[in-house]
Amino acid sequence: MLFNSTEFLLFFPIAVLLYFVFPKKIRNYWLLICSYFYYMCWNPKYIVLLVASTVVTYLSGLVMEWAKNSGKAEAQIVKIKNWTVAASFVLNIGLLFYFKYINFAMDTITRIMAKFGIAVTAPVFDVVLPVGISFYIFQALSYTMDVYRDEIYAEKNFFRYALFVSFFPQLVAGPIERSKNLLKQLATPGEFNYDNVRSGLLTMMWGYFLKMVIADRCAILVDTVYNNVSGYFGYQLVLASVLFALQIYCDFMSYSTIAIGAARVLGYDLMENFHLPYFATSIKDFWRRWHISLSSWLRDYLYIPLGGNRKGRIRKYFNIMVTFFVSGLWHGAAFTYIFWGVLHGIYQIIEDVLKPFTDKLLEKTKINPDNKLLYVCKIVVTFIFVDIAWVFFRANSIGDAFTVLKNSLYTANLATIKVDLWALGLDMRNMGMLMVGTLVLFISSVMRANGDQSNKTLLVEWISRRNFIIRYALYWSCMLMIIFSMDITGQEFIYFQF
Amino acid sequence: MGFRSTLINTGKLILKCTLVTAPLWGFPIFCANNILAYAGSDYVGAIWINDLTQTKQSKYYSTLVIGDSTANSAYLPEVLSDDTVNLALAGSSPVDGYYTLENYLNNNKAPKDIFVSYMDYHLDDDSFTWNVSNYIHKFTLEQNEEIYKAIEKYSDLSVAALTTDNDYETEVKKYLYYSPQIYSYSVFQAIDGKRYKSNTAAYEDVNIRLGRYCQITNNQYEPEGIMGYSTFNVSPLQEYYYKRILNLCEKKHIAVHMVKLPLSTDAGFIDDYETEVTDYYDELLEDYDDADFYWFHTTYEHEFFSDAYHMNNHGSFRFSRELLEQYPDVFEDSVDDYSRARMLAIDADIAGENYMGELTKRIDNKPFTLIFLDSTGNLSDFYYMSVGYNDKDVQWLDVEDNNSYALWFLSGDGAAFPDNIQVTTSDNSVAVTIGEEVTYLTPADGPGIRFCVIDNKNKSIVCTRQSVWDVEKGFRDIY
Repeated sequence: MLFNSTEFLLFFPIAVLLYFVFPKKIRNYWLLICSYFYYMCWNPKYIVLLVASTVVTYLSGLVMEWAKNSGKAEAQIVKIKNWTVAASFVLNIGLLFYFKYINFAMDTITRIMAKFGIAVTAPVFDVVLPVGISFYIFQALSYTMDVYRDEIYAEKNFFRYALFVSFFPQLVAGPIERSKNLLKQLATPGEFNYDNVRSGLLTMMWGYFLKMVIADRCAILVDTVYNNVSGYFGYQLVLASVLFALQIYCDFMSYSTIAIGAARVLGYDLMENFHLPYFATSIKDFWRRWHISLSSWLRDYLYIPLGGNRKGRIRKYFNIMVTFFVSGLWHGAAFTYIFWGVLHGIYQIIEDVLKPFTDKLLEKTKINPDNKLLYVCKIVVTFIFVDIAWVFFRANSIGDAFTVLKNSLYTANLATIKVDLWALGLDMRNMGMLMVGTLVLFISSVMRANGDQSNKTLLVEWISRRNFIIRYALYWSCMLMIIFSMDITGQEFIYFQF
Repeated sequence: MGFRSTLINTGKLILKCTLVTAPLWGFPIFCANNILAYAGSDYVGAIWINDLTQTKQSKYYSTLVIGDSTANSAYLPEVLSDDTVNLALAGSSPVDGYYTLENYLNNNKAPKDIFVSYMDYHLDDDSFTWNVSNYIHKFTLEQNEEIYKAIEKYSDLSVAALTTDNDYETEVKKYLYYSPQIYSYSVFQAIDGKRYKSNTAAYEDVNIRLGRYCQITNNQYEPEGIMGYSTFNVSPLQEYYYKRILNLCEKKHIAVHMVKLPLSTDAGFIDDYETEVTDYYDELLEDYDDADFYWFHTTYEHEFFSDAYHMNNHGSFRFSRELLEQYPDVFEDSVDDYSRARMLAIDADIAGENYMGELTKRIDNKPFTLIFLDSTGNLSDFYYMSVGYNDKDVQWLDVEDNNSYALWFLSGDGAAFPDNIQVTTSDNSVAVTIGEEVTYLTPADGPGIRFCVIDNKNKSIVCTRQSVWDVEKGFRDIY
């Protein structure tokens, strides 16, 4: 059941209505039923994996909590905790590895062996990637780690914990919530709050706008070009690559936005997953703004435990590379994703190495670091590097990605530009709609960038403060744009596959 | 927060949600009531047929035609009779044909005769117009269920995967409730209002032609070799619906005429094809008393076709006249009964005609008047060479004062020049006044003949044409 499906439009109001109708005591149970039903709509048998991950991490939390309170010697407690957390990680990562990476690993081994002239026929496992597995396993593991680090108490109520792992708004594509945030909130079932519901619904509408009006339209052009990269040149490839940057941003952010909106309707606050990533002034800054829930997860549970930047420069760079390698691999079992991750790691290292020189250059040239033009230049340069990395992320193979980069340098034949542009899958009307949608997104982003960090700077909130006529004219325009995008492609959310 | 304020807030919220989402629920209402405003031009014929079958008609149609696009283009109701309507649907097979008939009979009195014609490829293949028919709401939910069960029983369920990723029922419901996922593309494309204008005109044209909408052209087919018809096969699914058509007709006492349409001369029947066809229909119809099969074995020259299967206007005209001869009892009311509506359809055919010979065939024995403005003095040449029309002569009407042109007229049914048409000559034009409408005929561009065709029944000018005279080639085709 996709957020952009008719089924969800029926499911969600029923889930919300009954949630508020039921007495507080059973609201969480109802949400748990809804969450499991939501997941089972995709494939009922894979609920077993969700339950398994939930049970393992729940028990590991209880064991660590028990060890802590058992009065045993500190060393023994640490030992128990270490073993428990290791067991939880092995079981969860084992599940993830089997369902997501086993065939990739086998194929890679076969290829490596073949390089050495050893012919190996690796078995092919008949597995389907369960939707959202990377998200809920990371969420469950974050709980294990938080209990391990004594940052939270273990959750005693199994059903509440199961709801934390399976909370339907963010179950299949994040944000990857932390127990410190969501689990705490679940202790007190949400109350009906008019402002929350209104704001949540408007946020959801904004999410649908991003997905259907912008992302799905970009997808048509991007798919046309990227599925036949050798057939296109110059500006066509550049346009497709820029639109892919827009597509993946709007696609992924839309899911998070709908999730945040849906949770808010129920009375819960989910973490922000994107904060104007294409306004980043460096790659480091980009990762503070892009998929915040994953990058902070990797920072807290991988980069810092590896030593972070505390063990010298070489070790720091090594840790960065490992973190980004894992980030790439998390996104998918393919070398294109790994390459994308590694490329971002290299970007960060180069940025770090060059930083003293760039600082010195600024000092010598007496350019004010707060100069607006410099700020814009930084944004543009960062975007170019990010977009080059996206080429590897989107291309069907690394070879295709290099073809895109090489052929992007061809200059356009201006005489045929008008004909060629419409041959990319989007007609004039749809291109116009995409441009309007992008403009709205840009205005919204500028408002957010120039305002404070409160919800007041959100475009939807700004609209809700206008007078009746303007407000409804804008709501209806938005609704009509969504309606006119409904049969564009009906694409799944990109991050579902991760 | 008290219960009362929660209740008030909930009510407020529901009201606001309803208001904000007004376009979402307003969309199906718009779609249900304005199909011509957004549907693609390909749908117009099917929409007209659907409207006719799903509503009670004030006029009684004694003869129906069901079939595919080859049938739609071949049968000319205006030639056959005033009580004939062509309900053949492009891309359809007996599956659709059955429901066209069922819908019609659910709302209207049963006709006396039905002609059924399908091209071989629509019988051999299990596909039918699922998308188009659901788009225009031809099939009810129950009918869709029947189709699904029939597919399950007689065919492969992959045929039911006419739908995208969803199951059959979900997809049917999307059509049934005008889901934006199905209709929003069309509405978006029609936002400038041009579709409404062109669809309304096209709908009116189908209305005038009593259901005929396919291949209305005089383009000529250029064959690339012998087609070679070697085998004839009817799939179990299509045969099931063939039998349902026959059973329904038997129940309603309707005579069924299964007609295999003429093909072009490049068809080439080889092996046992002809035997297979006749054997199949003999076996199919043996249990039905009032059903027959007729095969127009005669092949037509390729100039009577617009492509390998579809007749053009000339072919359809020829076929319909031959059908009249083949089934005189069915069309006994045809001759000399030209209603105004029927005349409009003939007008439409004439308006698209480029050959004088064909044009005059269409006006033969019908209340038409042709006024010729001859600036060559060679009208008789033009007339006899290009028309070969010997039954009635053109008659003298008038001459311009300076003898720069002469006026003649020809009456389709041999009647005198109609009283209600006034003709006034002047230096460079002739004013033809019918009622309050005045049309000016100017001499042809160069030596030649300008003429206009007048529909006496509808009191309107159908078209004005000219034929220019060339020293070497004589009179050229009309344009």
